[in-house]
Amino acid sequence: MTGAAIEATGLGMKYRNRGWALRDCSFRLPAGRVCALVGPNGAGKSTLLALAAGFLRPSEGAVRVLGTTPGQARSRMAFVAQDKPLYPQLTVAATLWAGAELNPATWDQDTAERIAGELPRDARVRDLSGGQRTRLALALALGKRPELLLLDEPMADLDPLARHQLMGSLMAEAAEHATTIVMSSHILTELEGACDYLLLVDGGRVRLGGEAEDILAAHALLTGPVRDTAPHTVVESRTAGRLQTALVRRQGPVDTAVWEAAEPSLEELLLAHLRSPEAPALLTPSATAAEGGKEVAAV
Amino acid sequence: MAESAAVEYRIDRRSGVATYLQIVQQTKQALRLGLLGPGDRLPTAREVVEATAINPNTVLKAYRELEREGLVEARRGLGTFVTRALGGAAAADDAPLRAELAEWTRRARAAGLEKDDVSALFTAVLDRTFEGDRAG
Amino acid sequence: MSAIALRGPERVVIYQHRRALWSAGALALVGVAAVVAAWLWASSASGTFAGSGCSVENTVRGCGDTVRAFLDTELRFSQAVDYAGLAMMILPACVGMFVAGPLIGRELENGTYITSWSQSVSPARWLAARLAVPAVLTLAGVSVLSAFSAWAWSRAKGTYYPRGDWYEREIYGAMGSAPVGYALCMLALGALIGLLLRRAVAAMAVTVLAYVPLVMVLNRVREDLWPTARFLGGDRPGGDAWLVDSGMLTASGKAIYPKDCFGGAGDTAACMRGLKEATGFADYHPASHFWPLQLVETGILLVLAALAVALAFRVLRRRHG
Repeated sequence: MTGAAIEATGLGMKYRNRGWALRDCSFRLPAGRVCALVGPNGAGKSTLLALAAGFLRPSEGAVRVLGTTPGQARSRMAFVAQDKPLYPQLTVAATLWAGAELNPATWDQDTAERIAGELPRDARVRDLSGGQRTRLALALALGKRPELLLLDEPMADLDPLARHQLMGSLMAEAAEHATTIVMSSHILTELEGACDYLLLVDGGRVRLGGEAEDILAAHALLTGPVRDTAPHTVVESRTAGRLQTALVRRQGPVDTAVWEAAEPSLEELLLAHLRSPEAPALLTPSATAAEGGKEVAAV
Repeated sequence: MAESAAVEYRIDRRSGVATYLQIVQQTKQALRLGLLGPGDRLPTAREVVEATAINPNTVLKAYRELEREGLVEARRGLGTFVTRALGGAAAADDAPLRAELAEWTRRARAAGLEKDDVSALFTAVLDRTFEGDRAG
Repeated sequence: MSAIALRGPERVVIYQHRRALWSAGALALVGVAAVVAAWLWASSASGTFAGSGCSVENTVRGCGDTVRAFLDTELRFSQAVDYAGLAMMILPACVGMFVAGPLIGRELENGTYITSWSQSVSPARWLAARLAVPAVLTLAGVSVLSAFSAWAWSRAKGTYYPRGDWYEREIYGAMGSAPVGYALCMLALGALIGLLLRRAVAAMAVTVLAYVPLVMVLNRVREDLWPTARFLGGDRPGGDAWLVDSGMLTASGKAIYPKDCFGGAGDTAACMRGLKEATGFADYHPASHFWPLQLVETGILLVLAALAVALAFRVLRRRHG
């Protein structure tokens, strides 16, 4: 098993005026993965990223990044916040210059220039469009040559063309340098295809975690008569007349004499979990924190 | 640096076909059509993902599958190269099999079958014939 | 600038605020130039006046306009020195506001600190750069301005419109090491307030408000910062002495101050009886106490600054790990 890019154990964050944003989170993200951090708005995605990036001090538990504390790993990871808070009075060129000054050990001007692309170098950040700011923020992040890239809603401001292009650039970086990437979004389709790892955060907890393929394979969409789906764990079940459709977590093989079984799409799977808050959490072995000690649903 | 690869992958997210399978199929298609031949280099994972915005591991998985089937070979530090052609003469225009299929298709049409009917019929027979073979 | 090997975070801070820094430097230069110009004018007028044969004290017929013109230039110079002294008093508050607002408060308010901390720059390093750059510039700039202000004060002394004595608040606080101490202390306080409030405008306002009690308290305790000299006998100490207190000394060596005898608590009759064989005394600071007093006050300010800086780093560590 490769090293962990992020490992959280009992991680929790309580804000003074909003209460618990994240509670009792234990999971592990192996290095070299492209991870989709999905969940509804306000689920705790941004808090989780800010904790991993070392911007917040956890109220309980701990998070380790690249085998050390977030503070120690600062020079080896990059973080792009949701609202891309670049210095408004700096020009594009000056922002990249600042990136070189502030990351003397790792800065790669060529990469930064390539991602920045056609951005006018003498334009001030405050005059850039949302999409252009995103591009510059990503240029700053990738110019740093991080081992771990944390992106909070990176594509929200982009048109489909720019989104495809920047996602391509991100994937190219991941391919060339085995960069671990975590991207949050409340729109799964934005990330599907690019990500091979999945973390579903909902209500401040990790509901699903692991390789997207394995998580899909652990579930089945059953169609058949209205009857008990045991031994499989039901995530969500609906009946229409005498027909039952159930999304289940498989326990052993499905009885195909009774049920017609299909593999759900990722979107179906996530929506079923979001609609059923009481469904047990699932972490695949690679996503299970080593010293977690918390209960983990059987796979 | 080898000459630029002759294949560009188009990924259809809504096709329902796994992404890595789309790459495998499109590579084979290019091999069959002679767009790719022995000695040609496949695009690097970086090139593919930069153009398609898919996960690099997906490309690597597709290339491993092609390698497992003996169609390509990864050379360390150089890239992935085609080792053998696919289909060969059978796919050429004047091949007897193609002529027979063309004749059969013409007869099906004359019998009043729509294009979709012909396609469904052909797929059904194809599936029956190759039943048990692992789909690649 | 290339002669000084600055490291990344400091260079970025200077670059980001280069306009404000240049403006402050230009403003200081203009102020200095104005005072120097007023002095040059006054001293040239003084030369002309000396040659005119007129005298300020005994104005003879026909000299009225000449005397008035000469006194006007001296008055103008004296006023320029006044304004310069005022500017020196305001300067520490400006330094504090700059650090509290644009340097720290605004970054925390706009979230731009996230961009800095996402680079290979720890929060502590970020804060250190935001303290070090203004500290070095303040140390250099205010030292020079303070020396200049002392020079201007000494020039003004020789005119017909001398400014106050060395121990007067507006003058004492505009020269020596005290201005540097105040500026550095306000810099540190501004940083702490900016970190705590995380709002630019609010932090700037609170920093200014904090300056007022700081100045008031130190003005009040200043006379006690160094032991006074005691002058015995009826006469008062000479011209530039800072008279702090006076009273009567009994034969047994007990000092009796006016407040002891006429205050509510004391026994006035006993007090007066004691005064029969007493000699008058005065406690004062001679001009030679200027530097000891300045250095003690500066020391207090630097200790306060160090406390504020330590607290600022602590706040940062507690909030952001």
